[in-house]
Amino acid sequence: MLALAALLVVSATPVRGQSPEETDRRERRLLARAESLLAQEEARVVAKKEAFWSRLRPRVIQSRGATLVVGEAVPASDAQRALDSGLTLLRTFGAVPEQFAGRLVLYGMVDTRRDTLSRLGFGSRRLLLVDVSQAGPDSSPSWSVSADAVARALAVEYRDSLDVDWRHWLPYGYAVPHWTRANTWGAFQELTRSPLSVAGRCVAGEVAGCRLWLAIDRDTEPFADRFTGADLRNLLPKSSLSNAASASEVGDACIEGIDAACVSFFRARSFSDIPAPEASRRGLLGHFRSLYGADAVERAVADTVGSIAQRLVRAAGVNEDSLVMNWRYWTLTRGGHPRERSTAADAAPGLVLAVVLLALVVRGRRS
Amino acid sequence: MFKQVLVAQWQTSKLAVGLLTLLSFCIPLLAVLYGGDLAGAGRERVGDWLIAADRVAQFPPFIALLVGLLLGTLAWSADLAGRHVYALSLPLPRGLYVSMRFGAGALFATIPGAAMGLSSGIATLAVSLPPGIHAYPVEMALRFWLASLTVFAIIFAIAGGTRRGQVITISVIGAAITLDVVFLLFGVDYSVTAEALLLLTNWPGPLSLLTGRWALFDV
Repeated sequence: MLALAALLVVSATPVRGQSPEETDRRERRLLARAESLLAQEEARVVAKKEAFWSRLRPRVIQSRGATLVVGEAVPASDAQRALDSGLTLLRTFGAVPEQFAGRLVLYGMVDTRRDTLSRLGFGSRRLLLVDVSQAGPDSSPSWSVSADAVARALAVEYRDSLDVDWRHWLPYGYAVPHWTRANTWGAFQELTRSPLSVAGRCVAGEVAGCRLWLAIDRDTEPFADRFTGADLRNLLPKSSLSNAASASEVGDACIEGIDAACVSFFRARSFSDIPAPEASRRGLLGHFRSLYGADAVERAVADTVGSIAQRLVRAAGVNEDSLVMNWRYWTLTRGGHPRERSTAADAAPGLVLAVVLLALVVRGRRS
Repeated sequence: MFKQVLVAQWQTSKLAVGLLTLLSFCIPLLAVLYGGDLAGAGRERVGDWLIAADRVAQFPPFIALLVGLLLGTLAWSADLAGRHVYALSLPLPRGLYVSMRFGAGALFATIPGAAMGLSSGIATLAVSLPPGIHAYPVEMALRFWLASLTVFAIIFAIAGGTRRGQVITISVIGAAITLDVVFLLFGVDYSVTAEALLLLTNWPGPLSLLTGRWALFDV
């Protein structure tokens, strides 16, 4: 529009045959038109900016001590629902204490140019960014926060606040509800398809193998204890370290069959020393929660003394090996629980009912 | 006298017993079809085999249910067809007659159970299992037999009960279904039949034997 106005001004040169007065009038008219167009355009830009920043005007949502600050573009009911449900998810699936959320301020899609959150009185609390997702076409978009995003943000922050053992061991998404049957399938696949020897020992029913697979003990030499040289050598072609191995002397020795070199090579790199991938570890926590409740998970995760196994056992008051063997059964049966009763005890209620009904039939008369 | 009742009841039940026995015999052998030598097999194959064995293990409770349902209703079918004339003409008290009918039905229910036991034994001998995996042929057969017997006894008692008893049973089931429909119409998220089924199939519910793990091969 501005370009058009400029073009009009430039093209408004006097034409031969026009009197100076006429030219002057015409120039003034065009100039006034150009100025009017410019003012309109400026007003439009200001309105657009205003509309943009109004979307980011903060809206404070609170629930059970937790605070979520989102821009006005996110409907209040939507944000309230997300915060309530997110906190419920964390409470139901354990691990994150309720008071932890009270120490933080979750925010997303807010105008933070003029220290908005401090002005709202949240300066002393730790700020945590939460994902705000956009939906709909670009011409009329809508924004929303999900309960999952709230739960995830809090869980990740809580995980980062824990001691080094938990930070190292806790899998991603440990506190959100992915401990479903799909997860048991994932844990089953991981255990039965892993090329690692500890997985084989675990499938064969060896408790020590399962403990090493899950890496729940404080092993003195994690790589040497949990992996054999052959395991590590087999891992090389599948890992991102294969090029580094052939380029280094120790890696080369590993490829050539020296087990100690494999241990040294992997230990020197930032390769995870936990054989069990995430689904297996999530599975252990999920199974633990289903057996002993969310409170037990919360107690175990808050504990800072001893190994992961010792913390879990202390929180639930059970035997370490029974927990691990229970998990093995749960994994290999994809969600099954070992039988608690004998077949006779299972059959007893049905047989008692049958005897009672038969007694009624024997005594009765057909009418 | 028991022999006569047994022979008469066999006439009505023989087809069902034959088919169910065949079915009971075949099911445990299905697990073997997925492979016999697992002792030296890779873990991946053992995993696949476990999944297949678990799938096969889903059938026996249904067959046990079928055995109980069919034999329970067939036990009284001849009496219902003959309007109880045969039973009334016998020089027997009702209690003894009912006991004989029950005994005959229970004996027939043992035949599929025995077939299940036999084929479970054959399946166990046919597979060389890797360490950590175990076979439970005796427990499987016992569970199957007890489940069939329980369902048979319940159905036998309902089918052979007084008309008043049958009307009460049908009315209770009808009322539960009607309540479910009413709840559905009013948008109430509650199902009486679902809750009742949960109570019946979870221990100490009388049908809890039908649920739970039925695997012939387990970890």
